[in-house]
Amino acid sequence: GPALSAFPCTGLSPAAPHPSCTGKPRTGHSTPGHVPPRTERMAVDQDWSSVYPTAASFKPASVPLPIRMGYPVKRGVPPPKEGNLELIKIPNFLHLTPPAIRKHCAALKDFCTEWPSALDSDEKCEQHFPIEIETVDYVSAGTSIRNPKARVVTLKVKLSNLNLDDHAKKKIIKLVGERYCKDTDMLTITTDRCPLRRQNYDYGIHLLTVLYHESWKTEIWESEKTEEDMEEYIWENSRSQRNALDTLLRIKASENITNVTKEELLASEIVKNYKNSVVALKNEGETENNMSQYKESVKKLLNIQA
Amino acid sequence: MFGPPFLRVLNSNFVHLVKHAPKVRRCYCLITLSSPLAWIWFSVSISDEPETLYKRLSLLVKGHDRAVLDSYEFFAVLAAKELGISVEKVHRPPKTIERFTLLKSVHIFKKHRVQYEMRTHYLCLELKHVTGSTAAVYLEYVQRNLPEGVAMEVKKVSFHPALSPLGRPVTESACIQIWSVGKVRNVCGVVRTIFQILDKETVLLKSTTRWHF
Repeated sequence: GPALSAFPCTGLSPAAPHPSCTGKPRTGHSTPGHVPPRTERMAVDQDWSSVYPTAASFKPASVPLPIRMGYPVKRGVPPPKEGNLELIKIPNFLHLTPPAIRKHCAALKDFCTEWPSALDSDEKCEQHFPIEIETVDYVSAGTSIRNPKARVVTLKVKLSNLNLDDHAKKKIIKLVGERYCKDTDMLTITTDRCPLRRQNYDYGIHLLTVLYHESWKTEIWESEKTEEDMEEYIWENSRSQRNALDTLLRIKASENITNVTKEELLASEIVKNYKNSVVALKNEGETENNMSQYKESVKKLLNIQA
Repeated sequence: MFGPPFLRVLNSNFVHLVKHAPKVRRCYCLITLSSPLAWIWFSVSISDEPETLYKRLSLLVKGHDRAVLDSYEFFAVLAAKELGISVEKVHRPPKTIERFTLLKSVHIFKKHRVQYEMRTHYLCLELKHVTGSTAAVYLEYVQRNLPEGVAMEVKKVSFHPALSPLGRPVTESACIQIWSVGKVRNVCGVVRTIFQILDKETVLLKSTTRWHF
C-alpha cells in the first residue's frame, strides 16, 4: 500500500519468520540471538589495559587466546576455554601485563623518594646508624587482617659501636646473657611484651638505654668479684704466678744467690714467656702450638736441657 | 613522636640529608571507567618529617600454586625495577607439604583412611636500600595486587637515629616535680616535650611517685 512504499525495498520476504523461531518444538530454555564474542572485534594493537583494567575473573569471550585447560577428555585434548571452570578458578594476571605495570609505576613514581647517596655501602650505614630495628608485617586473606605476631620488634646493635670501656663491656655482656653473640659482636633485644608495635619499640629503646647506663655504673658489691666470675684468665695474682715465683726463689736460694727480688723475677724474659704460654692455654684452649710453647717455657724456667 | 632525646644524630651533614628528604604524603583516588584507567591525584605534598630508611625489605610470598607465584614474581620484580628499587636476591625456599590422615568413614572402618596434603610454595624477594616513602608506595602497590589465596610476610630492617657520641654518660640526676591542673596521662611525654623545646638533653626519665589531690 502507500505506507509500505515509503520504505525502500529491503529484499526480505514479508512472510519470513523471526530467526529465533525455528521449526523445533519449544523446550523450557530459550536460545536468544547468538551475539559473536568480543574477541572477534578486537584489533591486534588494541589497548589491553582497557579490556582488563583491574583484577577480574577469566572471561572467555574477552580473552582472544586459544587456551585449553584441564584433564584431557578421553583420547583427546584438554577442554577449550568456553565454560571452563579451571580457568575461572585460578587467579589470572591479565590486568598486570608489562605495559600496564609500566603505566602504573609511571603514575606512582612521583610519590617515591631517592635513597641518600651518602649511604651507598653497608659499612657507612652501620657507621651512621648502628642500631637496626626489625619488624614484620603480615598480609593474608581471612576473617581478620590482624596478626598477633606483628607486634614483635627486634633491636640489633654491635657493642663495638656503643661507647663502652672495658668494665662496662663486661658488665653489659653479663647483664644481657644469651642475647649477646660473641662471634658477631651483636646484641639482639627482642620485645613482644606490649600489645602494640609502637609500645614494644619504645620499650626496646628504653631497655637499651638502661643497659647502657647501668653498665657504666660500678656498684659497691662488684668489688667482691671472684676468680670464678672472671670472663678470661688473668695471670697477675694467680696461683700459677705464686707457684712460679716460689719455685724460682727456691732455685735461687739453693744456688745461694740472694738479693733477687720478686719484681726482677717478674720482669725477666723466662717468667714472661711462661706467663704468655699459660694465658694462651687457659684462654684459647689446648692446641699443638700452645702446648709446644708451654713445654719450651717450662723447660727454660726450670732450666732443663732436652 | 618523641624518640629518646639523649640520642643525637652524629654527623650534621648527614642530618641535613636525612631530615630534609621529603616524606611524601599521598592523597589519590583511582577511578576506573569504561575508558582507559585514569589516576587522579590531588597533590603531591611534601612533609618535613624525617624519612625512615630501610636497609633491607624481605618479602616472603606463600602460595599453593607454583605458577601463580611465578607470575607474581615477574610482576613484583618489574614493578621494583620501574620504581627504581634495587632487587638484591630472588630465591625460592623449598616447598613444605603438610599431610594428615583421617578416617574415611563417619563410623568404624578403621582400616580405611583418606590422606590429605597441603603444599605451600615460597618466593623470597630481597630489596635493598629503600626509603620510607618508596617502601610505602611499592608495598601498597604490590599488596593490593596480591592474588587470591596468596599470603605475604614483609620483614623490614630499618635504622634508628644514631647514638650520642663521646664520653661517659651523665650520672647526676635531677628530680622534677610536676604539678598539673587536671590529669596528665603521659607525664614522661610532657616532660620530654618541654626538654625538647628547651633543647636540653634528658638521660633517663623515670616517673616514680604520683600524688593525686
